[in-house]
Amino acid sequence: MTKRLAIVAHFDPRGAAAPHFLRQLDQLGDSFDEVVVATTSELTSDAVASIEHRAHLIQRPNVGHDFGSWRDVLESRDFAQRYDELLLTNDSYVGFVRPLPRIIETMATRPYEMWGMAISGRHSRHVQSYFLYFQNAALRSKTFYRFWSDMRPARSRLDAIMNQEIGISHTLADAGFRFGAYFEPTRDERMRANRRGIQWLRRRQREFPSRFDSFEDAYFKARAWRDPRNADFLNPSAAFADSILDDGRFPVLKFDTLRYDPYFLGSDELLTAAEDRFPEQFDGVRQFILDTTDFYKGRRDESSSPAPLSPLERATVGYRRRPPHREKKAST
Amino acid sequence: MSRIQEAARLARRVPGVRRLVESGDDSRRATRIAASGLVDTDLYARLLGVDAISAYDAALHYAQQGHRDGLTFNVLLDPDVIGRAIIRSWRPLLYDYLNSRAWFARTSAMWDSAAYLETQPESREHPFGPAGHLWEHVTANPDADIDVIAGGARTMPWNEVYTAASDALVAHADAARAKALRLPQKTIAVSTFNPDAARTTGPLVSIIMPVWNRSGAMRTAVDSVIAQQWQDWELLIIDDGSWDDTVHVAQTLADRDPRIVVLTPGHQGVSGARNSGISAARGEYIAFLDSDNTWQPEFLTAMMDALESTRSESGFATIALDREGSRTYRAADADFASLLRGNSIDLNTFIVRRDVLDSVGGGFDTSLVRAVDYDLILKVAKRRQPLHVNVVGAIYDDSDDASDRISNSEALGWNTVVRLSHTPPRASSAETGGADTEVLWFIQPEDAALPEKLLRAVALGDEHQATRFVLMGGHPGAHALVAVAAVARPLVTYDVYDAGEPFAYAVANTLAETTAQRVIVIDPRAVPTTEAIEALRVAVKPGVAVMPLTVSPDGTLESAGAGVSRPGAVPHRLLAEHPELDAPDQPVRVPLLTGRSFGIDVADYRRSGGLDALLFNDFDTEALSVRLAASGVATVLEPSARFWQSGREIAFSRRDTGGNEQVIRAATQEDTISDGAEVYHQAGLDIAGYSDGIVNGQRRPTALATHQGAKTPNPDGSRRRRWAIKIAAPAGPVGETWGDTAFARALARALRSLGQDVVIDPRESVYRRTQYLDDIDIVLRGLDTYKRRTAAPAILWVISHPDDVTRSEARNYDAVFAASVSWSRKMSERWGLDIEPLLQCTDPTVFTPDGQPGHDAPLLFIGNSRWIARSSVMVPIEAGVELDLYGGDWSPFIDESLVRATHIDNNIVAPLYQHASAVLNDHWSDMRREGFISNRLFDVVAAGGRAISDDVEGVADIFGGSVYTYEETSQLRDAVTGDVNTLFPDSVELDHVSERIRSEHSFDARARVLLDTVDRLA
Repeated sequence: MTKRLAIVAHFDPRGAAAPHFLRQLDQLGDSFDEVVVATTSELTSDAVASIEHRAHLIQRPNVGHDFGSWRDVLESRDFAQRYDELLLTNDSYVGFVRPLPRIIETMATRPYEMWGMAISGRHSRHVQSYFLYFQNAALRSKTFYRFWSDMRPARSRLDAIMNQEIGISHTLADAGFRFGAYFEPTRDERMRANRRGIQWLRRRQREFPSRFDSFEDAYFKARAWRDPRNADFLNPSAAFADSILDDGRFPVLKFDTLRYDPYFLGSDELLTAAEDRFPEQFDGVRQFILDTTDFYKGRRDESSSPAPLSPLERATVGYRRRPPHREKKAST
Repeated sequence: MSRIQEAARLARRVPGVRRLVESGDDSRRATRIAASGLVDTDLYARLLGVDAISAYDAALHYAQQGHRDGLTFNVLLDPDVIGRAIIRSWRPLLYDYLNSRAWFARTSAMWDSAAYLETQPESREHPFGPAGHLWEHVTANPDADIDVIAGGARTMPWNEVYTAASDALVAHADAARAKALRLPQKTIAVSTFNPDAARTTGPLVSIIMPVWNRSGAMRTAVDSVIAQQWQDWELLIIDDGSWDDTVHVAQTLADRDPRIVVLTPGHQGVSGARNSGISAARGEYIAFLDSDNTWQPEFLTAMMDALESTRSESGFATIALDREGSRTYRAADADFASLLRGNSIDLNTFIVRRDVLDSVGGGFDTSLVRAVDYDLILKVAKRRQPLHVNVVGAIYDDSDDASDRISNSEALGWNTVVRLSHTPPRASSAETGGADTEVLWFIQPEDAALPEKLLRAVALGDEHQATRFVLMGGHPGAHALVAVAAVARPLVTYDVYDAGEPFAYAVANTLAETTAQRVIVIDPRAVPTTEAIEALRVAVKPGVAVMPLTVSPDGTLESAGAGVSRPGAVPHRLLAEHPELDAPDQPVRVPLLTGRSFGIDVADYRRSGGLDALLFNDFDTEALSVRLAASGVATVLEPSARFWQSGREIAFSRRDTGGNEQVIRAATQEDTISDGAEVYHQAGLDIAGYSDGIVNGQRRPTALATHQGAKTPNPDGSRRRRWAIKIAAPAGPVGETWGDTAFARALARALRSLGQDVVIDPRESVYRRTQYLDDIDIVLRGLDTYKRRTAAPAILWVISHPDDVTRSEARNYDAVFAASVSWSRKMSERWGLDIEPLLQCTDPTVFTPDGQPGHDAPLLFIGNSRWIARSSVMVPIEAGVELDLYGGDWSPFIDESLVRATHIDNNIVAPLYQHASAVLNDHWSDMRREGFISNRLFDVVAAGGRAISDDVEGVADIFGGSVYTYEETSQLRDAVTGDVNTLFPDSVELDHVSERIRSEHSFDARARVLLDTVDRLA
């Protein structure tokens, strides 16, 4: 019997346990032998009670981002060497809108030793770190052990991205392990993402002309919009977010996408559509966003709230409100 | 110029038209070349490796490509020689030569076209010059004799010259073609292989993949195996004791694909790991893939398709190399012979039948640390030529080719070891004609001294010694030159090696087959005299190996042997950068030989094991010495064999620094080898310690010498000091012709007679590393200023070019002398410095009367023109007075036949001075103005001679009536046209002055002044 450990990094500025988070813990509990929540919030006693009902809770200071939380828990559990598989995740998304066991089973048949929900090619190719799943071969490797035992708290956000979020993918790949993603966009999805990339560059230049004087991005190249591979250089959790509507092909929806609408695609409409499509999973999500908006101001010179779209934008690049009939229902 | 040519020239200036005109250039040039009749179609066809070619096609090939490849179409025309004589353009060189009628240019080093123009004046008018004239003659009369200069002037039948020269050119072209094929090609022939039509199943191929701590790269390699279209394979991953995730990843892959097998025999090195894999392999074929390489998906299918259909024993695929966006291919066919010259097969695309592998030993030689793949491929290729399958089997990223593979940390010399072990004994080309000594004279490309070396080799050849020239690559014309020099000279032979071959390989190959009792190996940089070679030959005995004293181009010692500071240290060269003063004057035992010149008894060489082939162009003789010592052979420095090391290192300049050090450190570890202090002791020196120096671009320990305690005072109680005389003359043969060199030597002799040690530093070594050993610097001011770098007292002696000396320069010295009374007085006042007069002088041991009556010969002038029509020569010649003239560069001014010799030995000048009715002399204008009296006047008068000179202040005071001075040229004319005897006093008076000059103005007198000055300063 495969023994699985899930470690969930948690942060709620109100010290609460949001409904979607508790549902996530419930789902994890069904598939994992042990679920550990490492929170960096001052939790209310209600929250503590409702989490401890579902998982092992560790409260720790807010140091070292998610990787710091995961590392602390891993160290306390012999770096998960007594488990066969490991999930490192956080509470930054709503999901899973597909049964988690089905996702795990699917990925067990693919030749990957580590996987996540999506792969980004920004900076360099890596698994997005809100969901990192280690198969046995990777988990029991010297490389895995060394990565976590050598890890130091990140000194900055960039340090965290380069050495941790991207670093884990690279370190394993350099040692001969392969990583992949549950969500693998189709050609059509990629081409649509390319159009969305253009929308992003265009709107960004319009909104922040003092910051962006050209139509350029270091990774996504506007002039390569006909090349489907170009879509790899966008953030998949935003560019493909509405694939959740296709029967949960993308089984989670990031709060960052809903809150900030980073590519100016009309995330408020996406939230409405998701609530329609998955009423149970999205119950309380809108309220959570409203309650916590003051704590998440967004970043400078980036979209910080759902963008209003013109009818033309809505028709060509905006998030879909329901799966259109002409698009084939893909399922994995 | 014809109107058509003029029009074509103008048309080239019009954009667009230029391209049109130029498109016809090659064919137009080819037509003109072919029309010369000089195109030797037999030769050119052989150069290209084709059966036959027409004159036009040959000329066209030459115009388009051949001239770039250094080809010639006639043995009489050597592009390398012509290229040095005429102004180069972008046009084909020989076309330029013929078209511009540059008949003055030498066309070949073996045949003197300039002399031919003299002896056959009508050849000047030949439409294609001397070569065209001679070619016409010899093609009509192939048996005719011609004059050649290769290895000395002689007359030879044309047939023999032609055969030797053309064979050498063809051999060179063949080798160049073969070498070019082994290098990556820009394009490859299109393969006819169709992967879709080929089978994907068949005999099992076992893939051997050794891996050591490379889990990441290995995964990629394995992925490329899994992606093969060919299905019937097994992959044996042999872990060589990794401590990373290699085994873990490999096992993960093996769990997924049953065709993958992981073996963990433990750490045993790459060969052992591969052998473990071969033992476990079940396949009919064995393929090799290193963990850092990948195959193209069609590799196995293409190979199996080809191997099976041709029933080949082994085969290899083409490899593509990507470098900075451009792609080349390693796509040469390879057989045993070509592989022996260099490995062109990569093990990663090599497949061999299992039974064939078993028949050659079943695997890799674990005693080899490197070049194991080369060794195996040679073994397999020796049986039968491997099949080249022209399909790209692997693509290499060439930019990081030299990565950290297991094998790359070991010495490059392993290649040499493997090649030598496979080299079959050659048919002995080494007939030494019964001579007991063979001189192996290595020749590097662009060796300007080659004609001189050939002359010396011919001069050396007698019943005792034969010379074998070992040509390390180089220009084809040089090979033809040596070939012609060797014709009908049984004692001169030659061998050719590819440029870039290591020294140990060439020496080992040659010494394996020599029939001589002893050999003298000569470094390609050395230009030794026949006497030096003879001295080395005489010193070699059974049980004694010798090296010459080598002198660097800057005039300091390159080495006098080598020593080791402690066991396992890299050897240091003894007395490196020391002046020749410190060299031993008697043969002395040295801990180690060094350099590339040495003499040895062949039996001793073979018994000791010879040169260590692991070394790649460094420490060859040092390591040999260790082996010699182990077999009881002494290593000796023979200082009378003094080898001048000219020029830069071209052959053997590529080194394997890390590998060489590893090998030599192991060699010096085994024995207690002296540090060579005994060689320093004979010069009164000790080794105080070591610092890092640079030798041939390599970091080396360099011995720091000190004086051995306090020096014993001279018998008269005076202190013995070490003087360094710094002069402006260059080192080496050129410096020998400078007056400064003779002056410095005479002064040195005088100082030595006063019990002093003296070093002479030519301009290149005034700042030599070992100048800290000197007690006194004397700068004989020439064209260069000398900046003091040591604390030793320094004396400036201005003997010429006073205008160049500045106050700031002069005030840097502890004492300043000048060879002019008036200048000393003037500058002392102007600069406020104490400048003392110290005139030029003479060497009475050379310049003294011979007791015979003098003044019975014509007027005499000795000196170069300095490119001025000097009155001393022009006036008597124009006046029709008889003049004995010695000196160079006079041809622009007078008929050369009036010059008796361009050079004259200083030792025979004295009697000429004495017997001339008068010696003519003049001064540089600044010297005359500033009162610097030429040393020639001192020499003439000291020798008992009489001189006529332009007037310089002080001449009358010093020389009395012995020097007649003139102010105007007319006075000179009157003097030489009248009775010269009336200008001078009687012989009693002349003898009196001569004696006074010899005693008061000798080098001894000057040395005494300098010595007193130094005593005063100290």
